Amino acid sequence: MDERWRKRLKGSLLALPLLIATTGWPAVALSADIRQAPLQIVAADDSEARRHLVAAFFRRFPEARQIDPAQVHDLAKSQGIRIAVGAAALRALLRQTTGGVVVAVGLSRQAYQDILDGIPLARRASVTAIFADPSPLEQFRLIAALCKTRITVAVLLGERNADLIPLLRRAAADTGLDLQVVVLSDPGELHRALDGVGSARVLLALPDSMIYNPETIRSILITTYRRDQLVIGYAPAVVKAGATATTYATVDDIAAQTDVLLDAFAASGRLPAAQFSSFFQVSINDSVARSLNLVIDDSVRELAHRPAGTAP
Amino acid sequence: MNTMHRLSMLGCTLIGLQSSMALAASDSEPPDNELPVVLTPTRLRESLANVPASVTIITADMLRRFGITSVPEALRLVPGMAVTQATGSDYRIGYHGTNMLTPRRMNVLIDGVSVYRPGLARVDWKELPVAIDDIERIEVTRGPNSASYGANAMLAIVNILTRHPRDSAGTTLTGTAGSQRTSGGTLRHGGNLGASTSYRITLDHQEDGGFDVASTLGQGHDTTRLHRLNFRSVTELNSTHTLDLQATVLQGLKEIEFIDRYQQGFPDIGVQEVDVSARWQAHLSADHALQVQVYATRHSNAQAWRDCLPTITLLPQLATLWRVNPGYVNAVLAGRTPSGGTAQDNVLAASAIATYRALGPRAATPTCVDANQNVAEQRIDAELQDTLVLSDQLRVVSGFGLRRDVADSQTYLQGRVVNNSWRVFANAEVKPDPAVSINAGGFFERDQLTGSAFSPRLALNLHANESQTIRFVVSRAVRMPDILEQRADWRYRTTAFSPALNGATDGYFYPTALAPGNLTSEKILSREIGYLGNFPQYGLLLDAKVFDDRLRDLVSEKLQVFSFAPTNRNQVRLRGAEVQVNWEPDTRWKVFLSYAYLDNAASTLFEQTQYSRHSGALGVSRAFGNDWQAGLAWYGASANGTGQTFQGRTDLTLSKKVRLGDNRNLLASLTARHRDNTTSRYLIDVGQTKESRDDSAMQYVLTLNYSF
Repeated sequence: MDERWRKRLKGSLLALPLLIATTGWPAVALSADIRQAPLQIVAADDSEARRHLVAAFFRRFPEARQIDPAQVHDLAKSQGIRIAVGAAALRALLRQTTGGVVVAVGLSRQAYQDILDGIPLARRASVTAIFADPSPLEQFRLIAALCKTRITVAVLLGERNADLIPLLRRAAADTGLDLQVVVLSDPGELHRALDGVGSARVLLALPDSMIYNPETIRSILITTYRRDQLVIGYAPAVVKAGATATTYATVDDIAAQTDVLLDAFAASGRLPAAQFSSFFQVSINDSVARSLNLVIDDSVRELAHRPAGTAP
Repeated sequence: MNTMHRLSMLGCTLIGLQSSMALAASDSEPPDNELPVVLTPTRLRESLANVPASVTIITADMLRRFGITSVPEALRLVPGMAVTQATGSDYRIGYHGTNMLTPRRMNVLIDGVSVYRPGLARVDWKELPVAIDDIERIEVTRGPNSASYGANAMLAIVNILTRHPRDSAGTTLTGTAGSQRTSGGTLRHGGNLGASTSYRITLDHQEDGGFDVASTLGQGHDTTRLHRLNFRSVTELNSTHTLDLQATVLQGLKEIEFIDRYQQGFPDIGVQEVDVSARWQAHLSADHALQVQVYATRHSNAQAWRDCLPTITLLPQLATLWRVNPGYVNAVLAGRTPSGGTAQDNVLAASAIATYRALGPRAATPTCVDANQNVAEQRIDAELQDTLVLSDQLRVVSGFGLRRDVADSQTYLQGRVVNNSWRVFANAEVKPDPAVSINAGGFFERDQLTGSAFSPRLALNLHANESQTIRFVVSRAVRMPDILEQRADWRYRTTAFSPALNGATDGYFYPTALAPGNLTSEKILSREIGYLGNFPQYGLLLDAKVFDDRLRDLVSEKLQVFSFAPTNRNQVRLRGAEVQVNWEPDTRWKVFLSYAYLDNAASTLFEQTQYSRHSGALGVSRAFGNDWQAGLAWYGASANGTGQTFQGRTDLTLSKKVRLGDNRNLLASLTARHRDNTTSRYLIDVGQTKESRDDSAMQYVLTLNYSF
């Protein structure tokens, strides 16, 4: 294992207890034997994005079965592992008093948390997730590679995401960057908040719909660019729109991370906490990066962590 | 896919932004969601590595850190920029200096509006129609840049960009007080009108007493007092169309230190200016943008005084004699009988002498009169610019413009002179290879007074690796002679005679000056080899260049009513090297260093009147805990043989930000300034220098800024 991966693993391990602490529910022991049963994939809608994700799971788990959401109630007494693809599928599964384990994918940490907040604590013990949004720690590593020197990273958060602050602080400390967090209670505070972080070199965007939404994203990208600020987006689509770069997990990365999660579950008998994918790619908007006078060298492009056996 | 369909798809995609962004859509590749591309190729600025020139950027943050309170003082940071404060109200500034008597080879833009005055080809640095608090950044392109910035960007271009109204929300109050009777107050308020318009309004008053000694009477008489009102709004008409409106009103007083023995009071200047501009930008597609900018400016100087003149100087016969033989007039005034001229000269001289003698005892009594040097200058300018990104390898910016310059002065022009002009320009940036960037461009202009000129530029930027670029630039540029140089009809109308002269109460002071009207443009051929090193791992940005500039057809003569003989006979060769370093080792330390070495070989002394072989600046700032900050800056420029004194100055600025909660902040800043030389001396004519000086080497400025 080379040094880079050792550091990454160490970071991920550090992040997990933090995540458990911040998300508020513990990993609870369940029967790991269910790892032997075929995966049951539940996708509540038929959007293109969901189809891609389901296809990735079939590539990774050829023995898996897809269950129609309408038949979820038939699973009630079985002990299998259900992959809930998207928020609607997760809701449908959680409405059942099913045994077994649910791994939610295809939804953001915020969306997952919103759903979990509405169910009893006991039920949460058998639910976990691979978040669709990138790991804040990897985002900070990307920023460190892009800027190559100690700079200030600003993060705007809605109150619902304020629980991320300890994780962000730890990620900033681990990567030697300074952090400026502004918590907004109202969308109307956005412009003033942007002014408040005007001297930060980087704005790290997290998927918080109160701040980054169709009405605001254009204004945020134009304002930050005018100030020579980098925006680290949270998805390739945001990078294409004008953010400088992001790490992101592909559908295959998510499927591979699920595999890792289930292996860990089988080995320990404890269902791992909801987590960010440790497999990810790097998306860079070269035109914007050049325009902001960044030096994009191999240290940036080689940040990606791909599952074994996949090509760049 | 038709446009409406595409738009509706965008709308759907946007509504699903949260979920679709968070989901990877394709199998292994990044998803290709149909989100709008906000930062389209036409919106992106050129990277420093690809800019075909050396550039210095002074940010608002640098102004704050080093306690800089005016644009002229900020320009001391720019390598090779010669900044001479002749008096408190009079800065002479030129890139690489040259002629300090009339520095007029550098254009200055504020948000695209030129403040280079068309009539007398000058920039009133003390009266720029912009408050320092509104400045977002000053970009100085060091080198001829007509291909990108148009007329009169002969030696350099200073591009002042003001803060976007969107970044000016809230109210800010700034108060300044300091040595040299410096005081100022600025009130700025920014807000929104509806969802699509943001605006900013700024009311600014600045005043300073200038030098302690800066006048022919041995006292300080160089105060500047200014009031500015500026409004700027930006309206997002929709996601691709933007309208930027701006209006400025300026009113002020510039005390003039020079007074001759006949003037009964200092000929101070009352300044008034009104500027309006509108800029419409349309991003027609990701790869095609249009911009139309229209502006109008009117700047007037009211400069009147009362003279008590020897009566003979007001005789019409003497004025007539001057027009045919100025030497005869000088002889008559010296009490000698002129000789050596034509028979007509002798007749006119005899007539003048006879008229003078006929005055009898009245001739010995001075006649007091009103005189003035009032001048109003107007400019109306319209320009269309088209930006087309044909591919990742080819970007073309082109356009055309029309301009109407008007100068109105009874004294200088005996009325109103108009100079209409038009221009076309194009610049292509070609990137045949990731390691190569080529810029080829040209600017063609034609004006009524001088004719036509073409200013081409060719630049090659070679990227040795991700961090290092070598730049080769060859360019030509011109300065078109101004209205006074081409159309001067200069004589002083005198009124309110006391006592009356031969029954008349008005007339003319005897000298007149007529422009020959045959000047051609001043020209420069500039060659530059530059290096840009961008090493973010060390927080280091390094720009260096060597250059060889040949200026020819220069109008170097000092133009006065007694001696007005402009020619294109002079030339100067400027060679040297410059280096500029921005170093930010971490978030606390920021260092700026500039140094310029210059060799000036000129055909006339006048082109060496503003010439420092060595000049530079060093600024170091550090942020401390609890929002304390300290900045130390040193500026220096060597003396020369024409009388220009060494200038050295050290500024220490301490500031503290107090956060009062609810987005209310108080920023207090104190600058202590030590000048190594309290005297500023400069040449005003062959063998003659003037100087301004302060009694103390120390100056202090306190600034309080409260925002809420």
